Amino acid sequence: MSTWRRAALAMLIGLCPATAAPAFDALSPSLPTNYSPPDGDTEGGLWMASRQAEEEIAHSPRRIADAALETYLRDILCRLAPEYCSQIRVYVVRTPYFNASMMPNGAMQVWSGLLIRMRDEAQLAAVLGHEIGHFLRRHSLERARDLETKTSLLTLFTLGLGGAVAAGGVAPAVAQGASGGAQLAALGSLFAFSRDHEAQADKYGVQLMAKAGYDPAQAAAVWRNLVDEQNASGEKQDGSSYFFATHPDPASRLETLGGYARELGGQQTIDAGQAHARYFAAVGAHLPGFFADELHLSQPGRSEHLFKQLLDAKFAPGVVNYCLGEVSRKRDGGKLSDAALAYYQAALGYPDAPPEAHRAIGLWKLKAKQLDEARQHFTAYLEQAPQAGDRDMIDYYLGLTEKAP
Amino acid sequence: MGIGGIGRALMLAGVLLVLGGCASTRDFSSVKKLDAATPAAATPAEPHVLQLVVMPPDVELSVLTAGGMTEPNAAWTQTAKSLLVDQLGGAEALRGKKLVRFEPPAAADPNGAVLNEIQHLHRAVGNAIVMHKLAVPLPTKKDRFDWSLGQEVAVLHDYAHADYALFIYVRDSYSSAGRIFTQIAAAALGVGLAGGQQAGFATLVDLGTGNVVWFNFLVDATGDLRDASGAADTVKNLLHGMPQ
Repeated sequence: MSTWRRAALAMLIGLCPATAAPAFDALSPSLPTNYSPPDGDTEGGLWMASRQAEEEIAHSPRRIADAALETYLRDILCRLAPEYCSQIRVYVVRTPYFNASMMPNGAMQVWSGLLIRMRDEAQLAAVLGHEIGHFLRRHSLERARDLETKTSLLTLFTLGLGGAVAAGGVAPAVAQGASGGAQLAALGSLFAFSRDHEAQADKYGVQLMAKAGYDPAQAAAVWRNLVDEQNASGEKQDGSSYFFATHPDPASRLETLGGYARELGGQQTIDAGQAHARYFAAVGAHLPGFFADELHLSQPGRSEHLFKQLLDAKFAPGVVNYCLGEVSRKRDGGKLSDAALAYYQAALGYPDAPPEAHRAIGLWKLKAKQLDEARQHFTAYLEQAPQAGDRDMIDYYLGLTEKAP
Repeated sequence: MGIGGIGRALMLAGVLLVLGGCASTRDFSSVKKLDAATPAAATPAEPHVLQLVVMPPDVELSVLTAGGMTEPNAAWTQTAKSLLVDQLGGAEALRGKKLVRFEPPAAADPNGAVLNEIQHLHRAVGNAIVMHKLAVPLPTKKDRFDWSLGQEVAVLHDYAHADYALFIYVRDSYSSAGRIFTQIAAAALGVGLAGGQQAGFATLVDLGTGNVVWFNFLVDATGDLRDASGAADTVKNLLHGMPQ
């Protein structure tokens, strides 16, 4: 079937939800429960390397050792794969990009940049489910074995060609071409193998989240958010999202994930409101720090899109408004625009507004020679942040506000 | 996994050093003689016995596959670690010093993170020495040997009550049957393919200053850490030339 025909058919299926959806062909785990591999084989070696890496993460200064947050994530993992609950450990790492990864031995890393990009628990469950998918299907082992086979075959093939040349059966130039072709083919199939794994983990993730009672449509929503953020960034190629590099094309992925969700349907037994509250309770205390990391990346298009989304989702509105002010100010080369001022002022309307919002408005008012207001804001800043590192500077500004114009 | 920059430096240095296939070492030191980190402890009547903490060996043994990939082997690695610790306990070069075995800190130890990081730092510094002193020497490092793990080793000094710390790092690979076959096939065609190889280093750190006072790089195409006699040879080679 030609590509456009397939696309047209896909569109038709998409447009007609009444059409009987094909039955979902469920995946089953290849990893036994309570399993640990024998020390002497390939998998034993992989687990050893994983244990070392896990040890490093566990003691890393980048780890966010918040027991409540880890328990919250583990609870989701256990809801998704109850039989494997005791084999999974989770570590939150402070890295401002979207990623989560699973080691062969059941140690999972969740990056802080991912936690600020999830709108609710179901979306988080979709990503965690995807990672459990890799774990339950032992993809690391398959990849290690595949890599070994392919590099070995390649070496033997090259040697075989060498033998043929030596025996005079094949011209050296032909052999060189054949060898190059074989290397390209091996490389290509390595990547393809990885994409197959990603596609399978996607499917497994949706399957697990639907079974656990989450809305399976949220898996596609995760990718839609990322694609939107990517488009808002104005960057042509994505350099910052590690997921895009080896993962399937986001557009086709969205389509596929949406298809799975329709096939699975299912009962949404997890209360979305409660799940949202749980999610916010678990990550809320860390949000100011995570947002500050995002601001430090200096990617205004991306950050603005993200923060506006978070504002819509009513996530920490005081901090988020302040961050939008910062994005706006930085984009204008540090100048305090009216747009930035509006965000800072909006931030002060919420109890979680950071003291820095007062400082930002104070500076704006000082510049506009509205000295009384400037003084009020600087004073409020120092009251709310008595340990502020820039206290001397603010005292100097306060002095300026007292001089008669 | 796979070969990162560090692994490449180690291999490159190995290629430069290994001649004829037997064990070869290169060592550097910044002192001629070891002194106590805390001289106050020594009195003329009771000379201070140097205390040396032996850090857990940073070791990985792997299989070299036909295609040239290294695949870690957990069982061999486990054996090699305990054999190395045993052999270090009775090593000739360490005689006359009081050896302290490094015990992993308790989970609640406030210095646990630093003690762990010091071990990772040694891996990084040791590989930097291999890279910038041996493999591709930096002009600024040509005539000097001044690497250091930094002042933070004071934590290790207080934890282990030792004057010096001895770190061992070894990566050891063994040819699989498939690799041996490809080596033979390649040799028949006149191409030399590398087999399994042992590469590593021993580092002596002054816990008073953090400075690396002695560093010994070893590469050995015949070294074997899977049995006691091989481990004894490896320890002898690693500690060869250590200042007393």
